[in-house]
Amino acid sequence: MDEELLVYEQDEVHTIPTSQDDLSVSGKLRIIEKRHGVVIEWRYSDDETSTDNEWAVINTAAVTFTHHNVSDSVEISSPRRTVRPISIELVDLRSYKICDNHSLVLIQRDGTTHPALAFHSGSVHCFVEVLLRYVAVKKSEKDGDLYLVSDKRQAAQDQELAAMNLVPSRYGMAGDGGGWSGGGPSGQWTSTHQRVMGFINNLKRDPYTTAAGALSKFYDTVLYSDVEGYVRENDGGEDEVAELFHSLNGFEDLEPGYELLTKKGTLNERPKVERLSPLTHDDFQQYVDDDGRIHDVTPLRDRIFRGGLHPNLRREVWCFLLNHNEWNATHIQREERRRSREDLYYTMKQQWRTVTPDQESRFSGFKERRSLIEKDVNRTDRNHPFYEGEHNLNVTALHDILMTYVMYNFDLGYVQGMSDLLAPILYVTQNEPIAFWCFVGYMDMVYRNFDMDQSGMKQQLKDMQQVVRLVDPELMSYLEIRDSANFYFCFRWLLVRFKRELNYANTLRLWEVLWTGRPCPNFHLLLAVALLDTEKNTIMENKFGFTEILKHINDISLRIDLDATLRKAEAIYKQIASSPNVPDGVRTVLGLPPQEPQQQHKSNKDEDASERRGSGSDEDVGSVNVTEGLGLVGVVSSMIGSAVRHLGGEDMMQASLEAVSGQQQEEGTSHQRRDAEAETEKRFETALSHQFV
Amino acid sequence: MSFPSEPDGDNFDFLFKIVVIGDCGVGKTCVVQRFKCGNYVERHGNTIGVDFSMKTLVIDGKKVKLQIWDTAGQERFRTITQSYYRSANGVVIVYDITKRSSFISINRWLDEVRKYTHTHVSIILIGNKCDLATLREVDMEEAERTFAEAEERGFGGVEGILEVSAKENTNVEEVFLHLATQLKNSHEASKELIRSDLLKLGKTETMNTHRCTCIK
Repeated sequence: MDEELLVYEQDEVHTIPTSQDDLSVSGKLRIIEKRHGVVIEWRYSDDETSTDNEWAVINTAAVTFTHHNVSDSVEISSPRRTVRPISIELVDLRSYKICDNHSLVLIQRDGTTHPALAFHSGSVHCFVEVLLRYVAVKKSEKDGDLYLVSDKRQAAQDQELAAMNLVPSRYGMAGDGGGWSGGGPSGQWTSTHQRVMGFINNLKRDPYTTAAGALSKFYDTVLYSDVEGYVRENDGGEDEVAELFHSLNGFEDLEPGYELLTKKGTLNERPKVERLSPLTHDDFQQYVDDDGRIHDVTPLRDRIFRGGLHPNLRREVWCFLLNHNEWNATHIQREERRRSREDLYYTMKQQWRTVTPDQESRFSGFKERRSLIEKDVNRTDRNHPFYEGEHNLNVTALHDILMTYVMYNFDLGYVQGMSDLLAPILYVTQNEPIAFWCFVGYMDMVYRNFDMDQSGMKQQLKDMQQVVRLVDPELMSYLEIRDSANFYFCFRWLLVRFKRELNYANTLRLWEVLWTGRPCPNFHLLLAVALLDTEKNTIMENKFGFTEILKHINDISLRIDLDATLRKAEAIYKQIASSPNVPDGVRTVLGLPPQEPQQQHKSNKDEDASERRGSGSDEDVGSVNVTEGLGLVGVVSSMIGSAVRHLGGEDMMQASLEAVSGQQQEEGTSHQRRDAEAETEKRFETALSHQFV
Repeated sequence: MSFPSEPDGDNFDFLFKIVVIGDCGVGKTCVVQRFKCGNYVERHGNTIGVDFSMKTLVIDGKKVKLQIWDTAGQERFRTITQSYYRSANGVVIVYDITKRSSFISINRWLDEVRKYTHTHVSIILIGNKCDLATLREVDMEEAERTFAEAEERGFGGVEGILEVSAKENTNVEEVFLHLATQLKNSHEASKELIRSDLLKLGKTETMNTHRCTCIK
C-alpha cells in the first residue's frame, strides 16, 4: 500500500530572504500525506535537478522578478544555502500569512517562522485550497494577512456540536462553522462524513497525537472563546479531560511544545503571599542547642526562606546553607571540620602556586584558566567598596579562590560568571578558605550552568518555557510569535542567579532565600517567571520583538523590586501546586509528585474545592453557558477517550468499518466510502449523545 | 530574524546589525562603549550572554542606524551567542594586540562567522589595545598577512584589518564608520539594481531590499 501520497506540488516557489543579505532560493512546495500525518515541505529545486540555478531577487514588499542575467557587479558561483529546507508537520502549523496575494509565511506552533515563500508560478491560493482539506482556517481579526490554523477536526466538532444545539449561541448555527471557513471553495470537504472520517483515519494512524491534538484544539476554541471564566468555573469536565490527558502517556514527547491543559483558567487563583522580616541572631539561637547542633532544620529553612537573614547573621548561617558547616554537628565538630578544610584549601592553593612558568608553558589548559581568572577578577564588582581601588587584597583573594577551585575541579575549571557567584560570598564570609568552601557548596548547586555544551542552561530555558506556558499561555504565545520563545533574554538572570540584576544587598537576600531549597526545586525559575509576569504588559503592549525584549530585560537590571518578585514567585508556586491538571513536565521541574490519573485527580479536585471555599474568593459566574460548556468538555474528552481506548486495543472501529465496506463492495466506489463514513458518523453521533446524557 | 521593529518610531534610512566577537578580555565591550558613548570604562564587568547598543550615523546624508551586539567571549557560551549571528549584516572580530592567543583565535572566529552568518556579511578585524605598545605580541605586518590569507582562503567579506585603542579612542569611530559606509553602499547599489529591473515597485521603499551582490 502506498504510504505517502503527494497531494500538492508547486514548482518555482522562491524564498523571500529574511534579511537583505540573503539571496532568494527556488524550490518546490509540497503537501504530502504521510503515514504519521500530513506534512508541508519545501525543498530546493536543485536537490533533484541541478539544472535550475536561476536566482531570484525579491523585495520583501512583495515585488518579484526573476533575475536571469546578473549584472557585472554580481557574481554568482554556487547556490548559497542560507535557507534550510522546510518540513512542517501539519499539526505543528500554527498560522500562515499571505501578503499581497502571493507570498506565504508558514508559522509553527513553536514559534518557528519560516522564510517567506513567493509563488513565481501557480498561486498561493491553490496551496491554501489544498491545505483547507486538512485544517480549518480563521482569519485574524487584528491582522488581515494572518490566518490562524485550526484542526479540521475541531471545526468538525464545532459544527457537530453546533448541530446538536449544545451551545448554539457561542458556536453559531450548524453549517456556519462559527466563523471557521472549514471548507473554503471546495464545499465537499465541509461534509461531516469527511471530517469524521479524517478524524478516525488519523486516530487509526496515531491515536495519541490525534486525540490529544483534537482535544487540545477543542480546548483552544473553548478557552479562547468569548466566555470568560468558563473553564475555571467547571470542575467535572475539566477533570475528565485531565484524566484523559494524563492517561495519554508520553503524549508530551509526541508533540513537543504543544500542551493541552495549559491554557488560561486551568490554574487556580494565585494566592496572596506574605513575607517576614529577616531572621535575627536571637531568632536563630532558638534553633541551636547548647552544643551548637541544629536539629530542626526544616522550620529553620522555612523561616529563612520567608524572610532571609539579618546581615550580621549571614556569615554564620551561609556556611550551613552552603554545606560548609553541617547542621547536626557540635561546635567542637564544626571547629575540627573547619580546620581540616582550611588545611585542604591551602594544600590545593599551594598546588597552583607552585606551578612554574616553565611548567605552565606546557600546560595550556592551566594557563588559559589563569589568564581568564586574572582578567575577570579585575573587573568583578570593582565599584563595590569591598573590591574597589588598586592593589585590593580582596581582589587577590577572589583570584586565589578561583584558582584553587580550578585545582579542586579542573574539569570545570573557570567559566565566566563564576567570579560573580564568588564575590558576594567572599564579601559576606570575609575569610578566604571559608569563602572557598562556601563557593564549592554554591557551585555544587549550579555547576550545570557552566556545562561545556551549555546543556544545563538550555534545560533551564526549556523549563522556563514549560512553566510560562502553564502559568501565562498568553505571554507564551506572544513570545512564540515574537520569536522569543527561546527565553534567551533570561540567560543572564539564570547564569548568575540574578546577580547582575540586583544590587548587593538584594543579591545576598535572594541567594540565601534560594539556598533554602524552599518552596521547591528550581524556585529561581519561578522568580524569572514572576519577573516576566511583571514585565508582560510592557513587552506586549509595546509589541516588543526578541531584540526589544532582550534590551528591555537587560535594561531593567537594578530596577527590580525583589520583595514583590519573591512574593509573586511564591504565589505562582502555590498556584501551580494547588491546581489540578498541571502537566508532568512542570511537576518534574518543580518537584511536585506526578499526578496519578484516577484517584489523584479526585483528591486534587477536593483540595481545589476546599481551597476555594477556604479562600472564599469564589466568583460565581453561574451563567447558563457554564453547564453547557461543562457538558461539552465531558463529551469530547469521553468521545476521544473512548476512541483512543478502542484503537489502542483491538481496532474495533477499523473492524466495523471493514465490515461495512465489505457489505458494500459491489456498489460504486465513491458511494461506498461515503456510506461507510455515514455509518461511522452515526456511531460517533450515537456515542456523543450517549455521553452527553 | 528580521529587522527589529522600531517602537520609538525612529526614522532612519538603513538599519544594520553588527555583531562584535572575539576572545575573552580583548576589549569588545570597551570598544562598543567607546563608540556608543564616547567614554572608556576601565572595569566594565565581563559580558554575560549578549547586550546591544544602537547608534545612528549620518553617512552621505543618509541616516544609518547600527545595532551593535556585544557578546560573551568564552568559548563555552558560543552555542548561545551563535544564534545572534544569524541575521548580522556586519561582524567585528576583535583581538588584543598584547595577547597572541587572541590573535590566533581569529581563524576560529572566522570559521564561526562563515558557519552562522550569511556568506556576504561584512567582516572587519580589529586589534585592540594598540596603546599598550610595549606589551605588543602581534605586529601589524603579521596581522595584515592574516587578513590577506583570509581573503585567499575565500573568506569573502573581510573588509579590512585595523588597530584600535578603546582607551585612547584611536580608530574606534573609523571601524564602525567604515563598516556602516560599506554596508550602506552595497545596499544602495542593490537597491539601484532592483529598481532598474523591477517589474513593479513595492509599496514602500525600506531598506529591506535585498542585495544580490555576493562576494567572491
